[in-house]
Amino acid sequence: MSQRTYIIIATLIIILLLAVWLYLIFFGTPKSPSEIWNPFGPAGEEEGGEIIPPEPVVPPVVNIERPRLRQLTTKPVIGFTETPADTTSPLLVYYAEAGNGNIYTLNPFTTEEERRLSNTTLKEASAASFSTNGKTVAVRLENDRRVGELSIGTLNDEIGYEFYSLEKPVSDFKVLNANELVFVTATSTGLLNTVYNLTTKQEKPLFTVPFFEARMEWGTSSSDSHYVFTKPTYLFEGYAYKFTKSVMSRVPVSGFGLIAFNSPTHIAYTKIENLMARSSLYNKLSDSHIESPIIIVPDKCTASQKDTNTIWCAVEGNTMPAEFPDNWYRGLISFKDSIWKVDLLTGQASPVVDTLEESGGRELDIINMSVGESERALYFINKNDNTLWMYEL
Amino acid sequence: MKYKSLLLVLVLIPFLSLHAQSPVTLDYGETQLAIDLEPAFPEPLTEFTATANDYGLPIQGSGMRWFIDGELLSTAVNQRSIKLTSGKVGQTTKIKLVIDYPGGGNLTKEKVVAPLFLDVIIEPQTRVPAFYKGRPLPSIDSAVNLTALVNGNAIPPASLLYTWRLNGKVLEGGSIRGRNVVTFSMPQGQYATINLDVRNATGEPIARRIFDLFKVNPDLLFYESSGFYGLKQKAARAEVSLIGNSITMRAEPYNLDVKTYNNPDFLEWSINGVTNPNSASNPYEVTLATEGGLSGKTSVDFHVRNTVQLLQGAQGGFRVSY
Repeated sequence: MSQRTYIIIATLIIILLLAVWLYLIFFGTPKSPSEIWNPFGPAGEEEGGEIIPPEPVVPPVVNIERPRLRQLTTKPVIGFTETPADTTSPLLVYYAEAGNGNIYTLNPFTTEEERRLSNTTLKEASAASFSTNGKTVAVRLENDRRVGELSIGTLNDEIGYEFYSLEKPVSDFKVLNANELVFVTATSTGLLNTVYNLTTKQEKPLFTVPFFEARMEWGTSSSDSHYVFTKPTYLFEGYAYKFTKSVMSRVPVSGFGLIAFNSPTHIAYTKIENLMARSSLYNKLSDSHIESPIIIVPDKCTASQKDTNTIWCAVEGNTMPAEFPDNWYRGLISFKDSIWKVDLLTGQASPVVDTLEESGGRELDIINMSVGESERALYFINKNDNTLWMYEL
Repeated sequence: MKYKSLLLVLVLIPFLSLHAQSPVTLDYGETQLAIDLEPAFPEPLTEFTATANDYGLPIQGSGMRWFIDGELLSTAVNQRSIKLTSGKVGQTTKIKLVIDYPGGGNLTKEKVVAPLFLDVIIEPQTRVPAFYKGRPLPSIDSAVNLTALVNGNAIPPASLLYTWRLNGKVLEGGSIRGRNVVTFSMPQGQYATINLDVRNATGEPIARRIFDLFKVNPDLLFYESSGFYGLKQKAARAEVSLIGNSITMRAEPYNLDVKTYNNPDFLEWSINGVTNPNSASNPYEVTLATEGGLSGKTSVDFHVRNTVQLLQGAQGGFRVSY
């Protein structure tokens, strides 16, 4: 390469460098301070300052076991019971279907198909109550009225349930045990509670409530004490009464919007104070009240049969919306419940299951919660569609 | 002798007047001293305040001692008010107040507190659906039944005198023995004030309740109805999706007077603003069906009213999408 060529190349490089230098002088000046600072520093966090590690690859979980929280029926259910296992039969759940009163049985711990146990259609069946052994069921008809005729079915091992009618307009009822049914009829002075012997088919008056807007909480036999609460509304004060051998007395539980759950040793109740729902536990033996850690809704509670100081209750959150409980009973609002175990003596509650999470987003507004003698599972109805569910304890 | 007698009288006058004055002073004190309770008739196992009403006494600087069931309440010496908790039903509390005069002597007053539950159960005669587990509420002109229970009916109503007042006006013409149930029509205004006095057979007041009873306007909700299952217990939203060819909806007025519900002066369903001659056996139900392959939205309105008492009525609507 000649000397001339070297000089030309060097001159071109110098001109190029000069052009770059001139460009940077006139066009390369930052227009704002933010163009100077490091965007990863504390003053420039538009993009976020954290280093995000790559997400670990999680292999998909295949649940080969049945979930503890599971739906037992797709049919709407109006009553159910769990019967204990014995030498001839496993633990079973009996339930009655809404609308036709068909009775089915299933083993909730196996994948066995359910069996239908009745061939009688009970038109407009709206409520059902089973005896503790499942051998007898009472079904109320006429789902559009406050009162309806009561049909009683007795299980015959060969042909299923055979029904006969009590031919009485009944508003409320419950099969208390294997042998006794109690039902309510209106009289001119109040609500007459009558006990009906399922074996002898004899009935006798039990007690009369001297008003009409009452909600009954019967004991487990007619000779027990029975509790009666006024029907609730947030606008009126409600009261609690006890009936022992037809003698009525007042229980020191009252308040606006009163709703109450009766257990063998306590009354767990909620009332509205200063527009807020507040729950307490009344100890029947010591005649004392303590605050409840969760809001008590009686339709969502059941008492343990093994431990008299334990109840399970479902609730969503620790506050209730305005005009509770009225708007919940109207079907205007619903809840996504969690289940809690409550120690009535200490007033401590421990979470059992968050049903929304456990069911993968299914909204369960729990009512009619019940636990069988085995206490292997809690059973309940989802108020949103009246299907029967269980949660294995 | 005449002067001697006069002198004797003059000498004895101060003693005679002293003798005469002593009982007058005591009598004056006893009639003025009282023990006031707040609340006046405490319920069982509730806190109440007992206050010495001694403002009519001639000497305000007196000492005070309180005795509860015979025992001195040492923490309440010289206190005008004391806080106490009532006993259980049937358990009385005897309160004794002793006023000690600065110059000696004392005055006592006693009061026996026999706590009672006086419950008033309110049962408005208004309509709510069969499945509803709450209590109906009163609306204008609707009948309201009130039932008073003393200690949960442990004291038989027949042995007591009841005086009911509605907005200050005595109901049933005055006090009536055994009249623990009363019925009235819900008056105009946002609320009615109820006052109940209960006396025992000797006419002594034993319990009192005063409370405001709020009135609501009837309102309307719609529910899907099935001849098979009855009403769905979840209220329909503003928009209802028609799944299948038809749907039956029920209008359920809440807190409408039962007389108006059973025999309404005016009841009307309208579809897209056009009155629909409803042929359903239940006038509160309407069945809506689509005609093959159509899709869209239809507004459905319902109106029920008493044309004499115009506030006894409810109206509302929803849209059906199909």
